[in-house]
Amino acid sequence: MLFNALEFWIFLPVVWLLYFSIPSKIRWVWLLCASYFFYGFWKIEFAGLMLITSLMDWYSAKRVHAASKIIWKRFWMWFAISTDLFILFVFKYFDFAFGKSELAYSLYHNNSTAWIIELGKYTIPAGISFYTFQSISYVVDVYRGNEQPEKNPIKFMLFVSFFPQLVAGPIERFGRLHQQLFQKYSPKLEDLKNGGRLLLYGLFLKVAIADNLAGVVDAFYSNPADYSVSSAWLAALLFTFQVYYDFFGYSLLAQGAALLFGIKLMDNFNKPFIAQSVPEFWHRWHISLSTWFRDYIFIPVGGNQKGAMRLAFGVLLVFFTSGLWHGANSTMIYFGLSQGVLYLFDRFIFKKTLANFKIGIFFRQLKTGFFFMMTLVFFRSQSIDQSTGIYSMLFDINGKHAKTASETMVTTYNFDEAGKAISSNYGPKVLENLSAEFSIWLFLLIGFLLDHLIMKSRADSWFASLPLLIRWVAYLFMLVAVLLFGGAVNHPFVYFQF
Amino acid sequence: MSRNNEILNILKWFGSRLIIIAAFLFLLNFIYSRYFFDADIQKFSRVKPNIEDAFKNAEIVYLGESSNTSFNPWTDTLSQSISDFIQLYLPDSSIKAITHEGYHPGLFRQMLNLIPEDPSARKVNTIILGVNMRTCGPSAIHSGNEASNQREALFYSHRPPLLSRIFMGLHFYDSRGESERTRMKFQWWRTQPINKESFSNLKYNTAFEWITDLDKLYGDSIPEEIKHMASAYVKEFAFILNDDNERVRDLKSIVDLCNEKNIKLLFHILPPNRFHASMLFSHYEGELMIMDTTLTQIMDYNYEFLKAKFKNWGVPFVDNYRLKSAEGENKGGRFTDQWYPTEHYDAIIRRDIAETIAAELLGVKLDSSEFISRHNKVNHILKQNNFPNWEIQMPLSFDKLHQWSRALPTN
Repeated sequence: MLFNALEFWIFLPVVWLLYFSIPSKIRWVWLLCASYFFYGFWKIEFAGLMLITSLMDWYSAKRVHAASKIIWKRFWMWFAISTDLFILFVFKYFDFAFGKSELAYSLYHNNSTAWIIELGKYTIPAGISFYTFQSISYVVDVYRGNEQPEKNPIKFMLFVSFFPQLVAGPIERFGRLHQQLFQKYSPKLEDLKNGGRLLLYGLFLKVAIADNLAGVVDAFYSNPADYSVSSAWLAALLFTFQVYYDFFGYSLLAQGAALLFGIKLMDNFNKPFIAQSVPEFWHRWHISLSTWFRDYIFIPVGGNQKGAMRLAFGVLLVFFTSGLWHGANSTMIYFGLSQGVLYLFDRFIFKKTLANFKIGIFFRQLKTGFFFMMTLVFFRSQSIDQSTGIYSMLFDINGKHAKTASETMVTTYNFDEAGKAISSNYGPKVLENLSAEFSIWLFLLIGFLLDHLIMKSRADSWFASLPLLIRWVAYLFMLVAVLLFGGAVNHPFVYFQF
Repeated sequence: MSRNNEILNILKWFGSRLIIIAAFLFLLNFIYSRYFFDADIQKFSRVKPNIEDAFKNAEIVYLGESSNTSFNPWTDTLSQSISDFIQLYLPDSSIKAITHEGYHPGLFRQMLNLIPEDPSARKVNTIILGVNMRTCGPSAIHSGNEASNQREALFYSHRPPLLSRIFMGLHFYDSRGESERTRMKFQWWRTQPINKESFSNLKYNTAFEWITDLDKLYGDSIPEEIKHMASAYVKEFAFILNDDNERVRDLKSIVDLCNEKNIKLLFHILPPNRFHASMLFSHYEGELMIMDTTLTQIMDYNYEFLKAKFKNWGVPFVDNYRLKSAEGENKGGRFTDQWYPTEHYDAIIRRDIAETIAAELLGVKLDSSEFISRHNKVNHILKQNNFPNWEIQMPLSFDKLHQWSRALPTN
């Protein structure tokens, strides 16, 4: 179930009402059932996978805690990590890594395993990377002695499956989320109001801005060669905002939905486009993933305490993993690695040389945003060929792209009026200019303005601070934007596929 | 006590907001209907006004997919669609067609919602619905266009316009993406049995087994085009119809809706390219080419199934499944797509189909004097309007198939 689907808006109030109608002792059981329903609504097999991951990690963590010797602690921790990663690999990366191998062929021609190959190839289990990472962090935290293991496997299942953050995060830590899930809580009007504000604002960002931008960007990426160079720049720019508003919108929706149950999820974004460097950017963008990588990969391989070379290795390893985490495609690896290289550039070169010049803050922010926009070409492209094609379009200073395109003779048969005449049009190809409707620009502008205005607080408290009339005008405006101008094509959340 | 107070506060707060929002939505529906709805219809459901117009102003409405309007760019100097031809045979009736590539009974069923309830507000009394076999198969059911088709169909209803817009924005329709649909197609080919005891020579249990075996069957000497074509024929036609089939259920719903609205319904079964379907799996014994009927047996089974259903439902139908001009003597040459299985025909087949439908509507036989007289009149009109040279044929895949088939292994 997606947050931008009508089913969710029926599901959420029903779950909420029943949650507070039953005795507080068994509320968490209801929340668990609702979470599995939420996930299994899309495909029941996926709920089974999550169940296996949860039980495996719960058991492993228990054994980690119970083991007296470090070697057994280590064994059980690695057992959990490797089984989690194995499941992740089978359903997300197998087709990418071995799709054309004999092994894949024989698995696909065996009826008992063919469904796995089909799922991995066409329908990766939603959010598998998110809940796998969340579950791994629990086992490692128990190993490190930072957390006590949960005794009840069913309760642990709720930690992994809690529906607001299940399919696209934030990736919460056990210590923070688990405690809130089982605390005694009575519904509070203030939480309800704030949750509602976050839900509405998140939906506005996703449905009115990101989904509409997606339509424009998709038009370009479906056939880039048909478009002019300026269109390529526009598509790159709009995609940057599409990803941002899509994921930021999702995170707000997740926070809003959780708040209705009295659970405060962490902030996943903190104005990333005011970052002056790539390292700062990653402190502000998808914070739950960045901190996960920091705690479970970067620091264990040496962090920034063991010299520049070790740091560079750690950074590249993190960004390589991050790229791979984002998707089973070589374009994602390029995306991750290019961000890693730019991170090192900012950290070692820009900081020590150019930063000494009095370059304005605005220029630095622009540079960081520009770096991100450029690497997102990899993120959005279907293949390396497509991304290199788009890069060559973007830097088409001599107009080579326009020239090549105009030399392409095309033949089109006019089938519009069936058979009136068979008309063949021969002529130079005319490059199209990408354009967006006025309403899309307006919503984007309002998105910027709100981002700017809500600079120092969170959206819910900012809206709450507005005078009543202005606040309601804002609510109704967002409601109108969602209901009347929401993107028509179903674009699942960009991060949903991870 | 304080918990109860808080709950009471929440309920009060909710109540007042709900009233404001309900009133706002009511107003919004008015504004949307007045200022935005038409633009959205133009953008997302362009055919809707034509459907409404057809039901209001035409006595006969023809519902079909691309087979109605497709034509042969090589030879057709006549552009008339099947429905246009029917109109020529029935000049006293007003006929309008709703046709579009990829339309299917599931969409037609939803279009029927737009027939005005009040009989005085509509002129339509007969609906003709073209049925092709492929539409019931996995490729059509799980087509990549289906999400946009279903989005379009959201507007084929009399619900408040704002509700349709909300359903679209919040994807309250079958909006599954292309990737998921591809997976479902493969799952169908892999798991749905195609074998029946009555089929002779069929050694495969599923379409997937058959497709996989094509490489072995053809070896390396057969060009890729032929393999692709054979694979496409298996994918499109190797399935077994039953009552659970989505399209069969849709057809039944259409029958029920037409009965409910007291509208005459006429199905007509479109001819598939049976010649290519057997030619692709043929082999030679000496100089004699032996046509393989394995796939056509499945096609025939499905045809018989549909025919039995139509009879069972009490719906009249025109049976063009084995229309003479579409059969083998023309080597599949009157099908305009020579390298892919479609029901796209040249003018001769279109005209022949139209004749059978017109005769059924008139309640006469094709060889009756009344119909022959109409036929002659139509031919006269066509002659005045650049009557085609029926002898012209486009380049046929048969000629190449014929040559390549010799390389096929003998059984």
